[in-house]
Amino acid sequence: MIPLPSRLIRCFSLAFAVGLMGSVSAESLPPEPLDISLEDLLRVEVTSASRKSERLHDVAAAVYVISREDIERSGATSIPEALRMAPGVDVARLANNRWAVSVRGFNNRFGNKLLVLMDGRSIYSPLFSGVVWENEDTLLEDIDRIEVIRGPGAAMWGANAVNGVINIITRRSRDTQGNLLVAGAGSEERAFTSFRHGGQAGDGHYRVWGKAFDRDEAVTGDGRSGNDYWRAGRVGFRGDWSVASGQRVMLSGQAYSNDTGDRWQVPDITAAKGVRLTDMKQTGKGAHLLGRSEWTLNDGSEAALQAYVDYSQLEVPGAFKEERTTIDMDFQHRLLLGERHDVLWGLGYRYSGDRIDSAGIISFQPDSRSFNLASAFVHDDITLLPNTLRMILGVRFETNNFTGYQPLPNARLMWTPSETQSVWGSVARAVRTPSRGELDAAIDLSVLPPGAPGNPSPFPILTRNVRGNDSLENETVLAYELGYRQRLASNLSLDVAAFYNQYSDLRSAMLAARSFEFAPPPPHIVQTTTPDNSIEAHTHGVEIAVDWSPLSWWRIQPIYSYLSLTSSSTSGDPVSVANAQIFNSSDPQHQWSLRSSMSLTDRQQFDLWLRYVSKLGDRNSQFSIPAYTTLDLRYAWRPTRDLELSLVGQNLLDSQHPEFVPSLLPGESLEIQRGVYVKAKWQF
Amino acid sequence: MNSQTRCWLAVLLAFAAIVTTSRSLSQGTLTEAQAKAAFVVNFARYIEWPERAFTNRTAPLLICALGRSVVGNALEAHEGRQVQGRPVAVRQLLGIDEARPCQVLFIADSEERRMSQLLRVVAAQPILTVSDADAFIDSGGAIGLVRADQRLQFEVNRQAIEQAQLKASSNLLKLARNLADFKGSH
Repeated sequence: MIPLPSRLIRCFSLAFAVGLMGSVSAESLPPEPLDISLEDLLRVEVTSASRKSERLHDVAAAVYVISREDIERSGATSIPEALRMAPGVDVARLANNRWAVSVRGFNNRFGNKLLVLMDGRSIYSPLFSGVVWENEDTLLEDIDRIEVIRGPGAAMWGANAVNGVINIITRRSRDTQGNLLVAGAGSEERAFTSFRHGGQAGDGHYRVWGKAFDRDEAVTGDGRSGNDYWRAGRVGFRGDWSVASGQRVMLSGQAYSNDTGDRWQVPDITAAKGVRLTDMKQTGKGAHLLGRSEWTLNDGSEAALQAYVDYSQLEVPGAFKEERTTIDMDFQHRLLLGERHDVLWGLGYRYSGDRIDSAGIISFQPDSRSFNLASAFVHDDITLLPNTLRMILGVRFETNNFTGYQPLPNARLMWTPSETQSVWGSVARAVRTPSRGELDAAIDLSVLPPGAPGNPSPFPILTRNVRGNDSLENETVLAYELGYRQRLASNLSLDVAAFYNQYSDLRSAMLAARSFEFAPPPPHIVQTTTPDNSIEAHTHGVEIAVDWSPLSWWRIQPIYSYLSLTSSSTSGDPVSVANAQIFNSSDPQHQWSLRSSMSLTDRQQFDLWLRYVSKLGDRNSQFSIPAYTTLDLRYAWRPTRDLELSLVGQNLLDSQHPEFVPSLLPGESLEIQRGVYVKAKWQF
Repeated sequence: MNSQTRCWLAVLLAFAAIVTTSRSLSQGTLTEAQAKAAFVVNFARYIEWPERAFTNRTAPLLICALGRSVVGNALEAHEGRQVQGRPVAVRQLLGIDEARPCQVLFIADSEERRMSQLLRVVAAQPILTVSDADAFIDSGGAIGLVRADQRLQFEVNRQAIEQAQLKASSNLLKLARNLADFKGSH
């Protein structure tokens, strides 16, 4: 960096001092809330600093809520980008159309220890265990909030909620009436547009919406284009009705089509370096329909029934085509027993059936499988001392046709010594069930050309992962958490969470049979590996979130996350040792971010978002990524009440930087570029 | 442009920012809790209670708050003010069973999970229920406060108000978000 000339520093201090004086004098004019009429109250703007903490004060878990306003003001154009706002979450962009998202460690393109739900519908794919982020989206303006729950949520949400649960909740259709038109364009966000219409139907409301976009490609380290184009179109609807007194019905649906590009490093025994860079095309198509009914029973207790059907198709020509149908039903009942027990219990059933045609480097056997899951849970929120001490005991029993029956227990304690402070602790057990890919896929992993380190022979060695004879076990975690929240002042709140997790039976692989093959030519050695559960790990960390409004029009939200992850092989097998090494270099140890939101006038907003992510892996590891700092800026102006124009700059501090090297379906390592876009939002 | 010119330009910009921000501040910005409390007190001005709701003609108008929320604290700032010729009294409740003497009951959104059970306890009593919880009027509450971008709005459940034997003035109904086309006739 060029050192700033001292005159410039003096100048900035002067400008800053002037700004400070101005803000102090502005602050000394407190509004008088007592004599405002109802009409004026409807016009008054309110600051929202307290809302989050108010709501969260009572939750005995590490929860962070990303509000619609947060999303809007961050300039984020996709759900994974918005998730960067939450502490404890590691979001790494592999390419312009690929993300690795995880909570509290083990990040990968398919972060398999994180359960994600959108309006109660699981978007966790059983194919590779994880979320295919490029296929999941909605109208961002329709998202009411994203609740990010760190730590196991399995006792409530079921298997695979090992390290966290993300709930994406959209707004009720009553809150999205009228028309909305969004359009924009930029350097990375080449073009995007969305439209929504909300209206009334009978005793309720509805909305229909659609969106489409075209995104630019990222680049490789040496400046070549990444073939990670992205074109998508999506339509959806939601309706909410009050049927009878106290009964509410919600119906929603979506359909999408998604074209993305990718570049794979395909292992090839004929290639000099053992890999062939191959441009791939991935198409995703899908649709779902979800219905939910909530009603109050005669004794005052509340019940909810939800069902959905989801069809998706994921195709990578030359590799595989997956078609999947999921049917899910869920019933919940909440009742108060006496003065002290707030009980929630429920039953669930899920069917997920697939058909996978595969060719080339991946093959699935059998090509069709169905997965059945039945579950029952009960939670009791027990008041030990009114308004002061609560204990929450919960357990979920799940059974599936692969790994059998699992109890998933959780105990939490919540102590609120005063209106402004709370302390909570939790102990939980959770599991991750093996994915379809782990159970049934044979994949060519790599080729060591003759003469390469590790291959003294004159023949190439092809490493291929095949189905094992032993059945795979669930991965298990035992998690201990402690949290503290305090509202230090009406405009300042603090949220701290610490955790220690012990993992066992993490999935890895071991060396198996070795054979010599003549076909296809050239003659080569095939080294097979079979999956096993031979890695154990432990993690610990701290997450801190502060929410401060120094002035009524200025809000600052710093967060910091620390994570230490140590994994080791229990078998000593070289594959398992290498896999443990990958886990050890998948996550940054330190992450911090600072968001500043200024409402300069009631028509102008200026927002800033500074983020730091520490390095991944050791310098000479193939998964190494240097630390990086990024800056996003947003300026928005409302020339009229219904029209908002904004200018957003993203990743402004460097022209390009890498964020992650994927270890599964290895592609070319791409770098994320600086981007600028303009956006118009018109409500009419 | 030399660096000194740039410097003065920066100072000028800072001034401009102050002028614009002070302008917006003079229009009044409240914390969300202050605004919600002000709404609750204002609602009481537009509601007519049956005589039996009060012990006598000079009894205070009792506004009660239930659940964990700073709105309860913000309500206390209104204690002693006059509404419909009665002084306002504010009380924080520990449980719903203490709600019987209240004329207005604010239920914080922390109680969202057991809202319909709480409302069942005070149903048919002359108590105006207000909350900032999601879908409050769908659960059977009388007035729900809802956030719309930077502003607060409210929704009215006329059926719930009638059941509590209260009368709401048409001026209140006209301002309710869900009754935007209300013309004042039944």
